[in-house]
Amino acid sequence: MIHDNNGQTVDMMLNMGPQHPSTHGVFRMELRIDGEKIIDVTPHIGYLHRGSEKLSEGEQYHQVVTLFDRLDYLANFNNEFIYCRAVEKLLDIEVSERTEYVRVILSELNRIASHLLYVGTIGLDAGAMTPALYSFIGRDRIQTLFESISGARMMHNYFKIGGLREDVPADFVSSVNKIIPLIKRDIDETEKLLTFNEIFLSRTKGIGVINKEAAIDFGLTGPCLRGSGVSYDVRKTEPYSIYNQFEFDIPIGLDGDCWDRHWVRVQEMHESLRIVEQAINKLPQGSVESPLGRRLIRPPKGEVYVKAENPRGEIGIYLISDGTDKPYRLKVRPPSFCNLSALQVMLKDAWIADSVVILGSLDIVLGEVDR
Amino acid sequence: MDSDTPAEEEIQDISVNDPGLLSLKNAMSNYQNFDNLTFSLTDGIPTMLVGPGDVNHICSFIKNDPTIDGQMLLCMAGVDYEDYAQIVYIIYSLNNNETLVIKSNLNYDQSIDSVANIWAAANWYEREIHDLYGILFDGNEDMSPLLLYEGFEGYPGRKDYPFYEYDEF
Amino acid sequence: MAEIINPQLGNQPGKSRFDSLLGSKVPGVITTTKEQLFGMARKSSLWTLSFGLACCAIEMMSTYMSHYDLDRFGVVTWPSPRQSDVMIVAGTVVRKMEEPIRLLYEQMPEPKWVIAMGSCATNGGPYYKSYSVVMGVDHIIPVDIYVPGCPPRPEALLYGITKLQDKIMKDSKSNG
Repeated sequence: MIHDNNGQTVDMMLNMGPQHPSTHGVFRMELRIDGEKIIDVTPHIGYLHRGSEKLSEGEQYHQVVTLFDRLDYLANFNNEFIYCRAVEKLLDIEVSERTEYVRVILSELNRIASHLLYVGTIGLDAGAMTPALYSFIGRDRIQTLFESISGARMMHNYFKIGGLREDVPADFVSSVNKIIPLIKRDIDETEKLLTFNEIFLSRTKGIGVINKEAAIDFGLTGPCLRGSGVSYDVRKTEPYSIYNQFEFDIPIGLDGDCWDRHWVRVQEMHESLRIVEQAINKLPQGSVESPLGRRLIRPPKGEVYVKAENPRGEIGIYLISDGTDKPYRLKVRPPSFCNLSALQVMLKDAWIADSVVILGSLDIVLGEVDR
Repeated sequence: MDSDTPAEEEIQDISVNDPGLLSLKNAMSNYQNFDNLTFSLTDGIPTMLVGPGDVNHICSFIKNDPTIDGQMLLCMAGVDYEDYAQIVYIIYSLNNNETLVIKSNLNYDQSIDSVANIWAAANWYEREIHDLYGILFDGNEDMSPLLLYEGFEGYPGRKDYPFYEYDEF
Repeated sequence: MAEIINPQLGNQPGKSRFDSLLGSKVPGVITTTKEQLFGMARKSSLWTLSFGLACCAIEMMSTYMSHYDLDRFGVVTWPSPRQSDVMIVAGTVVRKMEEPIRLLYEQMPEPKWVIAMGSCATNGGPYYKSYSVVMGVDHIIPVDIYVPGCPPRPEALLYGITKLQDKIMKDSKSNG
């Protein structure tokens, strides 16, 4: 408490600055606190604004894939996937079935890797160091598989417009089949330490509650919306690519607190593993070459809007083409942007220590928020 | 660069029998300024072109109307067409599983209605568009920079803002 | 070059040219200068300021964790700048972030070093045409080691840290 001259208490402004161990990147929160209780929060973003949307207007369509890799840097394949789908819709071309299967398998494995990192960092936010060490074992396993396919652990630049850059190696099916039970074991080992742990439950149950109406009003999507009880997943409501051929369920939370969002993400990892198991057995033969070859593409004039389900929520791309070889306007609807704007509601009357856990449960990536 | 507005081009080859568009026209017939609306399709999604002063009325109508039920604002984009700017609103209805697009053209010296009192998600989108394009929103009190810093000169989203010339030394 | 020779050890290292010099006179003693001793201590326990900005931060986290452990080199990530030695700038530096970086650098006590990790921190990287990116963190603070890559592999960052350790030892020898 801070007292002024009359003995009245006044509020204090606490700055959780851009460099902080728990802000998941360069994010700044100005908290107005009364003792330990938060009265108001003013989030400041823009510390990672690199101008990707403006830069994409100066690069040709094939070159923009590398910019998209770096938007949400934990879900590289998912971002490349939606961008390639947007341009393919503009050009009105079909991709081969083998390409679709490989794209879905890699996107779902990337979703598992992203959620594994979330489990590690929510443990760090709540004060537990061990889940982070375990979760990176599973993540490294997946990243080694990605390295054998695309050549890089993180920024793959592997999906091309109309196909893939090159075919998967010959032992792809056997490596994925070998890795699936190991990933299952890693997921179980990691989340077993946290999910029903008494300390974690008392730190996350009833914290950061957001109800259904407020969640929809703020435009939340993904596990944050599903944790509040709304069953909305783009892979089920507007199935894209070949997702309508697989059987998987959508986990939903009941109360809208941090624990529900954690539970939804853990279950989503198991569902993604189900999709990978189904897809890898049905992988068809064929070619993954793009029908465009190595030509410079000049899509016809027009606009498209495509949606996809990223690990963080629903991503959308609004692409306007004016007939030249560079996009006219490329607007990305980032899921973490809207998820983060709901922080003002979630942090009302919370303790300072809870603000760290709430921010961790939103699972934001600043590269996507600032673009 | 195209000088026609995209809506005019699409009206020439619009499919007037598109069921989504017909049901939207039907539902909007209760709106009082129905004659000021222009209907079209954007990538198969029903679109309405409205004036900058009508945006707030139309959006609150769409949100409260039980047939359209526009609960969620998915995205707000600003587009620079050199002489004028266009703001695009993409709205989604969870119960009907339908998307709807609203477009509004305005000159750079005009200002447009804010929809931050209808959807809370619009607050940050409007600040971002103001940062990048310099468009003012009536009714949104907080127009401080979101992505850029205080004292940034110019509006980088516009087409006449140059790319950085990289000098090695 | 100082060498430890302990005659009680069962596993004797091979004969070196120092054996006759030191081993015969006083067993179990090393001689070195004060700067070299401090240099050896500093390089063996580099505490890094956890300062991940963008994508390179994820590879930096991978380097700290189980597979490519950095703790065995004595490197621990520490959140406070007042108690850290090395600042690893991992990610794109944006003009809005210039002032905080400068402030953090000045809050670190001497001796301090800076590693620029990734091509964005080296020279702007893939964002060289952007209006809001600083083309390399060396426009703001002095850099000792550059680790190229987009993002650099964990082994590359490990190599960069061992190069920094060599640099610290060489600097300590040249002063003495």
